Amino acid sequence: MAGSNPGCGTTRTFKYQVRDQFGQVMLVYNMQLWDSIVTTSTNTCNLGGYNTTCAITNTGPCNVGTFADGTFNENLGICAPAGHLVSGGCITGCTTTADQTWNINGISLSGDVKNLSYQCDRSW
Amino acid sequence: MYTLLLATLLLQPIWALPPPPSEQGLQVKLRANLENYTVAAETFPQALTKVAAQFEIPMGIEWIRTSATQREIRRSWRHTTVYGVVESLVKSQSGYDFAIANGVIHVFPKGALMDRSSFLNHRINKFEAKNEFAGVLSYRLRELLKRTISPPLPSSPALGTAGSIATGAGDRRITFRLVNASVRQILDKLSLATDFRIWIVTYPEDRTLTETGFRRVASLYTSSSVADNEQPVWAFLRWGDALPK
Repeated sequence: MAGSNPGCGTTRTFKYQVRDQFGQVMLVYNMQLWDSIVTTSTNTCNLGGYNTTCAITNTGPCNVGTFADGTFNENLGICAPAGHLVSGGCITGCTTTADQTWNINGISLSGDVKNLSYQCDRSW
Repeated sequence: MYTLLLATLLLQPIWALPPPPSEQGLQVKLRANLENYTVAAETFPQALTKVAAQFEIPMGIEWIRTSATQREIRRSWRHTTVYGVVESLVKSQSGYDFAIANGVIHVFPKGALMDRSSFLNHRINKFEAKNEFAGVLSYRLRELLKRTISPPLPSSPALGTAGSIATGAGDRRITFRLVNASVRQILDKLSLATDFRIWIVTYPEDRTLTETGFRRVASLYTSSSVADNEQPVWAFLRWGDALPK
């Protein structure tokens, strides 16, 4: 997630579009999708886990699908423990890096893992 | 292999909201006469969702995953109404009842509406949505409930969480404010505001309580049990969506 994230509950919103191996947009309605996230090397935000698209973390599918133009929305958010995030800003800056793997229509996109960086800049 | 393209930031279309079905609109649908009607389904919840889809009825289903509710159903009716079909289907399952509230038909195990151990009867002081996707709101509601149903142990280190919630077909941005509403009412609200006009809560046959006194639920999507720190879960379906096998 690019940029700072001032305060628990703040989210960043993205829009993705699914393309095939040739780079062509897949104009397919309701391709089932879900994601899994694992922490990589840095975790100074002390994140203990992730909530992913489907209710039971890192599993799917769960009846979330693409729009007819092959797009879907993603909302990323972070809630770090006391000492880091408070309403309106961060007491101490922190960063957690994680890998996110999408699964589209039962295919794990292991060749296109998204490197996430949850970051909260010190603002106090 | 597919690739994903990060296309745009913060550029979601603003969807026009269809008018939610009113209580009166639902009553009209339920009174519709049927000369002949047949439903064939692999399970009780599948029969209910088929009827809901066919007659475009918003429905909230609470069901217990037992051998009885997972039996094949093949029923036919003559000279009845949609209400009659729903009533007949529900009464054919021992221990189930139904009620109409908030423009939604609720099907549930008898006593569920008064069951204090059901998270669906838990009241939320204030639940607000400001132009947010219902999928995100459903996530937020679940996070609120998790704090009550499976609060972190006082001795556990202060860990944070991060989330990634995808939303897509059938979802919409919505705005509303509910005060002192039950979770059941909030699910109705989310359901009526989107194309996901059916919500389902699945209970395992083994009906046990969490340490905090809430009835454990199961996942519609897996037969594996749901860990306490993942409780509760629910599912949304559009009319016509297949139930998972």
